[in-house]
Amino acid sequence: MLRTPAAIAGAALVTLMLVLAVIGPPIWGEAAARVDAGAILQGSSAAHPLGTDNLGRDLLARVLVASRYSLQLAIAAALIGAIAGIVLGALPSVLPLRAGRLVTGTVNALVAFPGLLLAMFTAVVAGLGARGAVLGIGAAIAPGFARLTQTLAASVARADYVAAARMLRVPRRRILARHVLPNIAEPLILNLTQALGGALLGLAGMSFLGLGVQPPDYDWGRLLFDGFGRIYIHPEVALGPAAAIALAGIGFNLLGDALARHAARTPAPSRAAEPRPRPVPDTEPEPGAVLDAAGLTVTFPGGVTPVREVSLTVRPGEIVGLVGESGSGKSLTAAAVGGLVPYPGTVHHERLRLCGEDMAGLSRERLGTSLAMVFQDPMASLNPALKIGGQLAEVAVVHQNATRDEARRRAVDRLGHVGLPEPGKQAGRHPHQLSGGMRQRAVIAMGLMGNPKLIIADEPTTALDVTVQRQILRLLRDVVDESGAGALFISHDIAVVGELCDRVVVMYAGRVVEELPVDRLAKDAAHPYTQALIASLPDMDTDRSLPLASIPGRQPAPAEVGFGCAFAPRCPLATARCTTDRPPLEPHGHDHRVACWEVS
Amino acid sequence: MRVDDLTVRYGGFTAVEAVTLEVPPGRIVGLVGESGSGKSSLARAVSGLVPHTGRVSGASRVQMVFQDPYASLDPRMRVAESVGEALLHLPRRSRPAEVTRMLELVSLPPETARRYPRELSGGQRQRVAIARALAADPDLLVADEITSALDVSVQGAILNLIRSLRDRTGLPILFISHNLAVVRYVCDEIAVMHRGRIVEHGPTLDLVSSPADPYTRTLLEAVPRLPR
Repeated sequence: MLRTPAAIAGAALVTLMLVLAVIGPPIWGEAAARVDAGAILQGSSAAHPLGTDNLGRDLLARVLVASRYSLQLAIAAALIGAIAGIVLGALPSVLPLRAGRLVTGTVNALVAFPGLLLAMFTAVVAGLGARGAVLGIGAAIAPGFARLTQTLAASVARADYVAAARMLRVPRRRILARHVLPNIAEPLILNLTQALGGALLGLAGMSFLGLGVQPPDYDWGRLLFDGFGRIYIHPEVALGPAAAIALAGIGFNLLGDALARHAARTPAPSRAAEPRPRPVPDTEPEPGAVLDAAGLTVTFPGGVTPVREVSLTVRPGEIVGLVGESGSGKSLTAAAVGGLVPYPGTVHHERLRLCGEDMAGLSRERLGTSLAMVFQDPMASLNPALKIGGQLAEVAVVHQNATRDEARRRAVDRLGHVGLPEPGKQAGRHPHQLSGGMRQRAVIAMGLMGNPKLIIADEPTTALDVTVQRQILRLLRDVVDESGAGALFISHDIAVVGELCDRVVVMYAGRVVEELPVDRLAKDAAHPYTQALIASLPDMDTDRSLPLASIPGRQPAPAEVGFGCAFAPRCPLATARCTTDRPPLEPHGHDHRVACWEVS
Repeated sequence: MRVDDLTVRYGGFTAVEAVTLEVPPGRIVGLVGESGSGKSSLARAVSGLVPHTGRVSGASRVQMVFQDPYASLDPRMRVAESVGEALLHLPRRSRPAEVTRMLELVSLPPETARRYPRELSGGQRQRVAIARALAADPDLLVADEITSALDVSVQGAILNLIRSLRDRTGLPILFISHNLAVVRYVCDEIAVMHRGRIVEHGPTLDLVSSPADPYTRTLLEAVPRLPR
């Protein structure tokens, strides 16, 4: 957690303040209270670095001693605010509907009210002094907490596990206590740290205005108030407490920010990177291939390697299916080819060529027009605020230096080409006005604005209905046949791959385990994983009297992959050798490669 | 379980319109349809999760298993607590034994009770969700797309479990899925939903081999098949 300078500074400041609060009063308490009639209202000197007050008491000692009281008050105010806020925020989920709405409305009104006014009003009503100030600052903090609690609780209340609990007739109070509060505790606690900083400043402000701590008690705000009148003569008497307030406030805020950032980020598993053997290109470069990738590896910090030495070839007019279960690395492989691996992932490769040219050397324009990508969610590729036609035309304007009119004409033409009815009219619509299938067609049309040599389609039909899926699959096939482009089609569904593709590449735990022509998939699949995948897929001819096949165990996560064959723990054919030596991907008949010791 | 003339409206939109459907004891009835056909709304209405008009009879203790086992188990509760929520009416001492019995029913080892959901695979979590539903002693189990968030390699085990539950307990099950091949494998009868209505309902093999409704035919033709 303490990786950034800000986090270290925050933790150091907060620790310093806490230590001062503990040791301050016993060490400097006497000095802070000692009245010295011979040294009243002095400025900085060797004996009194921050000067003295009107009774000749040492101000440095008083600032140090005041840390305990200041922090105590801030903690009390933050806790009062947090508890009141959480109760207010959680009430609507247990109260009857009407009463719940009343509470929500009250909170909304309070949130709109300026915090300092609320604090001063409460403090005046509750009585001048520390108690009033603490209540006031607590009241100022509470509405924010209530709103946060409400928002967080509402999102948890929509979760399936709350629906399940409701179906089990679990009482509402118990749902709140057992399901909702534990699942929102973390952000609330983080918010409390930041609220502490706020409370500290707020209380200092109240004392400074004379609404807070009253003599003979003193906190930092009070010391600042007392010293402020002398600021033109002895600025140091006011600067001491001001610096203490600023440092403590900054410390709590920095620490709160660091905690929040730490909680938002899932920690990367710390495991030494597997020594990567020097990968030897296991295939010769294939002339004429649209995509020629060898030794493609994607690594993330901490030795997590979701894609390992993958080699792929896509020929013109060919659709290659990349199939695997979740976590097999298939989507990251596609992302690596398209140059879209998310930070902080890094891509290594022996060879990555598009139509014989090194992809690293291709200009953005060339890449933008010769590579088309289609994703599972068409909304991810379309800007919801722009009209379809304009978004397509942009491709031509940016990459092909077309004029607005030319680009627009081409966009309408392409939309018609992918089977959108009334393309001229559709071009003037926004993405949300189209159905899922139509949006996916628009994305494909966007890819066709250039002159794509390679189309990468990552689960393009997974979010679509079967009847629409069929239309999109046909469209992809037509586009490939017509343009002579190659396509890489990523899917978890081996039946869809079987229906669309020419060749299938099966991935497991980041590696290619088998590669063969689709028409031989059902009969000749040799790898035990491919066979099991096919056997476990029910289709319209599955024998209903037999239990369905399934594979015991689960696929290892990218950080768990060991040295042997990753499938060995789930494999019926596994031997001792499989757990120690990894089988290479080797030819197994014509146009067929398998990585399994027990097959060849 | 029988629903008569059930209608679900969200504002001006009618998601389910005058549906009549029966799930006989010991049978698995499959409900297929595309997104927006109203199948999930029907399931939630039967489970009492959305307001509706019409009559649901013969099912007073409906339990539902949800699509995403990653979202349907509280991440901060151990399996024993999650399943135990269905057993709050039992004295505290007798709950652990009942939890173990439920886990056995879904072929999970008793140690699973001490685990948190994050320590389990998708298939195991879905088993826990089924065990929780069974612990409430339901008279109808609604399974809403329970395998569509799972990998193919574990889907088979869950489908086998659903069939064996019917054989062992005679529990009627309403099995909702967009995947016709899955529904054909698991269900005794199939009801096809389209635009809020049931357009065809019949025994599985009859419906698959000789569909009467044109929409059923379109659906059947669209099922992807591996070339064999």
